[in-house]
Amino acid sequence: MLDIRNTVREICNRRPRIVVLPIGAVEQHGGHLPVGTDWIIAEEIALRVAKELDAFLLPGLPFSMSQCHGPSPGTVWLTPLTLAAVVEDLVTALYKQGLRTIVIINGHGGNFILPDIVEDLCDRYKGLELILLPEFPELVEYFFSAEAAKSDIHAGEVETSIQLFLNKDYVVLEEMQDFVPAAGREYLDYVFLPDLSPSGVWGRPSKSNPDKGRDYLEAYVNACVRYVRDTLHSQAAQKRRK
Amino acid sequence: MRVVTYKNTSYEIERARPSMAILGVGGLEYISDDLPLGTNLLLVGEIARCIADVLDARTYLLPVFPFGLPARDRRGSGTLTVRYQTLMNVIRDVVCSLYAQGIRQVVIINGLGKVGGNKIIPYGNLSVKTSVRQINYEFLEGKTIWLQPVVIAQQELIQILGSPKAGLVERALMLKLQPQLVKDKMEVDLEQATAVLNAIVQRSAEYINRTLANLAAIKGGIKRDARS
Repeated sequence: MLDIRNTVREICNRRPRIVVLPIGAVEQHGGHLPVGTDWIIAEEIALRVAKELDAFLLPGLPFSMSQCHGPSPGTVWLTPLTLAAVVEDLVTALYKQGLRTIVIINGHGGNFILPDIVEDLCDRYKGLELILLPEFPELVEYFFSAEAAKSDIHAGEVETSIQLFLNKDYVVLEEMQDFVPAAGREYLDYVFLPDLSPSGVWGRPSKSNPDKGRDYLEAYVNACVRYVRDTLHSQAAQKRRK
Repeated sequence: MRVVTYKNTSYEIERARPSMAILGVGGLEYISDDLPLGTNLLLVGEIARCIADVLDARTYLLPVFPFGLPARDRRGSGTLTVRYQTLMNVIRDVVCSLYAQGIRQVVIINGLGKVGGNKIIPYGNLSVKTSVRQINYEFLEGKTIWLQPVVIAQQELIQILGSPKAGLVERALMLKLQPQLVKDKMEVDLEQATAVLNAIVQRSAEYINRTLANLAAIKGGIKRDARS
């Protein structure tokens, strides 16, 4: 695996086939999780995926579409078109250097512009293999609960479990409180999340534990690696058929 | 807590009531054969942290935005950049989100700069200056400034290193802050490297305090003039 600690010469000599770009967020995560939770988790997943794929790991983009949290303390956002422009610029720069297989690890569920920009870039750049890793809700259901898969939207059981496993010291246990708003997730198209949940939590962090976080993280990384390999394999097969 | 970061919760940041935020803009580009691709990114992050530690203000230290504009003399393999309009929009979005939560002083560490640079035209990332200027014209309630630490401390750096050739300041800083990543450590010794870092941090902190105080005085004067 290569990353920003390598020299340009080392990167050129190794000619990595796959590049991994994590996208995080800095936004309120209730009273118990750090604002950098999405960034921290995206970087950790990206590191593990990059190791498995022997890829070139880029530094994580710390900010993304967090305006859904409104002006909460610590929340820093990019607007959708800015995020799209950042992704476009980075993919273009990599493409010009001959790096055509790029995997995006999205750490923030609210980045709804990403599928659009990925599709647009794949249409425009011949030979580009830009893979946006999907969510794997079946994993959430397997490691947590069916209820978590449905109602664990933000700073709930899943994220808290992972953070407890990765950085227990960053979690303020005494501030942990469950909250599932009566309104559905679709209301986030109309109001800020703290308008629906005063604590900023949407889920049940009280059900979290570090073991679940570890198991889920491992399974998620495995699923990501499998997804990338399968996608590349099927794309190669398609090319051969053509 | 005087300095809060992405490791703090939203509640802790609210309690800390930061009056200032620091945003670093890094860069991924070739510096030299012996320094890593991420030299600027790593150094801007460390320097921003050191500056936050010595400032008096309650500060929200943000993660460094990793990518800058391509430098004219450093295009090529390994360089990973964004366009000028993208960087302008990133700066604008971040500053607006800080203003929206009541943080009205924002300091942007715009790369390292270089000895021989100046405070008017940044060495690289010109669009950070353009964006800052536009933000200050549009949002009168806040103050956003930019600086390049090596430019601010350059007189002292020349005293420490002589007339440093390209890459020497970066090498000194890496030796002090990320020694395991420097392959050729012969040109600078640790004592010089420490002096370089101290000069950069102290002069930058003084510059930030002075500039923000001057701006407050100037804006106060403008308000008084408008009333009279």
